[in-house]
Amino acid sequence: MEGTVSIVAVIMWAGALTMIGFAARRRDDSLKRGLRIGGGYFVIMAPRMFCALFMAGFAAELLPGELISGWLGTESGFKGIMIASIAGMAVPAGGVVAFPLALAMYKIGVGIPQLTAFLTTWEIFAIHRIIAWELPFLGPQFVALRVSSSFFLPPLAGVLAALLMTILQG
Amino acid sequence: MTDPIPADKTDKAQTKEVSVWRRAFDTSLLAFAMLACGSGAAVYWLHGGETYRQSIDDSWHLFQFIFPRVGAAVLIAAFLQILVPREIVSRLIGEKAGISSIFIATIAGIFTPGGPLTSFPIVIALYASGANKGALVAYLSAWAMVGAQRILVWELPLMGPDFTLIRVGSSLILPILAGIIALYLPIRLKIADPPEV
Repeated sequence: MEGTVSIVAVIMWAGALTMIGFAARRRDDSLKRGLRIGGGYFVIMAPRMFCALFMAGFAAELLPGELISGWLGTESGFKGIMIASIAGMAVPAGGVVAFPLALAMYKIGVGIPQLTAFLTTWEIFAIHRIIAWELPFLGPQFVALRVSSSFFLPPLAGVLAALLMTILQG
Repeated sequence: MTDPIPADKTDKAQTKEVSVWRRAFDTSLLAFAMLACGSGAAVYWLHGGETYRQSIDDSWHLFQFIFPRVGAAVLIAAFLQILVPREIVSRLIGEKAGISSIFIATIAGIFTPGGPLTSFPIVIALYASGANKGALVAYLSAWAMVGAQRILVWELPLMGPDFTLIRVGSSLILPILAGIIALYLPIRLKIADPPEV
């Protein structure tokens, strides 16, 4: 695990440096602007990431681990995927809350297919985003169109993830 | 609070540094910190000091471990915005029709950085430039489900490469599917013009 993860870090830095190189070659203010925006993201991200990690760690201790991993563990199969698909609707917040929660669930033994279904529901039906952005800007017809063409995607994502796991591991 | 990333247009991000700091340390961070402290206190109270210290230790190690990656992630997110201007995105999707527009919209959605503040104006712009409803749904679904920025900034550091590979791999086709279905659903869109300020 450690090995693969540091390869990821190297690839990410290589990607970042490549993009910085492209921006620098433009010889306008692209490089400066990019660094400033990146710095801004970092200032906003870092303290939240810090809190998120500790919250995820504590949440993993507090959540009823055996109950949840019984319902949503890898062994829970399609039923677990369906439960996770519905449970994902109960996360009315952005990635700053959803991913630490997902990490906590991962730690206590929730299966990857179930977690995939959970995150997909949150991504598609993030209720705060629908209310704050989608309804006012894109209108109820758009919400209806998107929801009716996407409502079955979370269980599908879970099943595909289970298939992918079997292929990758077998 | 929606996504933590300030999904701003590039010109807005150039405002004074003070505003970035103020945005970083606002009440939502305070609430978040209090939640972390509160859950920590609950762990201490319910499971005792040993579990509490162990949990803090684990989280601290994880933080040290992912911190360098967050640095690279924010740089990628920032330069993606600079190198891929949104005009190109909306022109590409607006011009194509049918299934091919859904593929292009999906790719565009993946590479649209930032939160709703970036993606929703693009949907409105796409609609205005004549994109079909399938492409609009594919675009927003791709941004929400397999958006590169969220994967880089949150998923990969927190969940690790194994999980990310499986989740993203199983979700890549979904925006296309949603877009194709939306293309044939009998719902007519009525999107208002963006309010001028």
